[in-house]
Amino acid sequence: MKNFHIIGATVLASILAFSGAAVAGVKVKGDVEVVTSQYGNSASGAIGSARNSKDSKQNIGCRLSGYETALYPYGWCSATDATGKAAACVFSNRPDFERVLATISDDSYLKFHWDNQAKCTIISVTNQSMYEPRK
Amino acid sequence: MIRLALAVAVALAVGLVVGRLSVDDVASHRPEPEHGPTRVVQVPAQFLECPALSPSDLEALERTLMAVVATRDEELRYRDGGRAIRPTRDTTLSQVAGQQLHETVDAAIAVGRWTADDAAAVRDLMQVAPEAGYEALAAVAVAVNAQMLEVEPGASLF
Repeated sequence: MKNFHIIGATVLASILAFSGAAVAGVKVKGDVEVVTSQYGNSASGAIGSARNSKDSKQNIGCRLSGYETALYPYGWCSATDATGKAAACVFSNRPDFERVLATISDDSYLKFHWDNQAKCTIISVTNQSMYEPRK
Repeated sequence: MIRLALAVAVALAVGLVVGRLSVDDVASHRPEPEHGPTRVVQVPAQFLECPALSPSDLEALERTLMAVVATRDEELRYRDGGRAIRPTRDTTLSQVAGQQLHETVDAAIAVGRWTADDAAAVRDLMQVAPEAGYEALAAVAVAVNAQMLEVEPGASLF
């Protein structure tokens, strides 16, 4: 009888554990990745994951600045992966990028591409529940 | 008479370019574009009606004036694919800061290492010389992407 209780408790615990996982929602780790290849260059990662990473290297983000003495706002994106491989790109007078960057939040997934002059060619922001927020 | 009219027209053109008189102050015979960095200046109506100037003279004068204004505006626009920007207000302070920016970046690239102090210096100098700052950022980014510049652990790139 005692064994029956132990088995029953184990089964119940397993059911609760699995059901708990099923209702917790999808979670994806968005470690920073810097990819350079003949097909293109990109850096990506979740801002929260980079912030919460155990290493002291990961980071990713963008900045947009407007100056009184500058004709146009300009900005840049930069990222460093866990190995220390860094990447950056700059942009200027790109209202499309400005609109995209305005949507960044603490739990965004950011990806940017650049050309051989380090000019940003694509900047994308994903706001999805599966990416972890900053802690 | 022609000389007098041309002199007045040139004086008016200088006033438009230097003094930034409103285009509304002069009559136009073409619709003015609502937007766009290059402003089109039209020849005032009184000159169009001046019998001393032939239509070809007026057209030549108009082309000249438009070229002057377009050139001036072009100087304020992006150059060289947007990599360099002409400053709208170049002061001695911004020139010095711009020079320091380039020196900071060049020195870091020379030793192949980007430190937290470099990043802080660039951020400060950019406040004073934002145009040179953009160029400096681009130079750093190119070097980093080519893995010619190692970012010090714990330091932010910019």
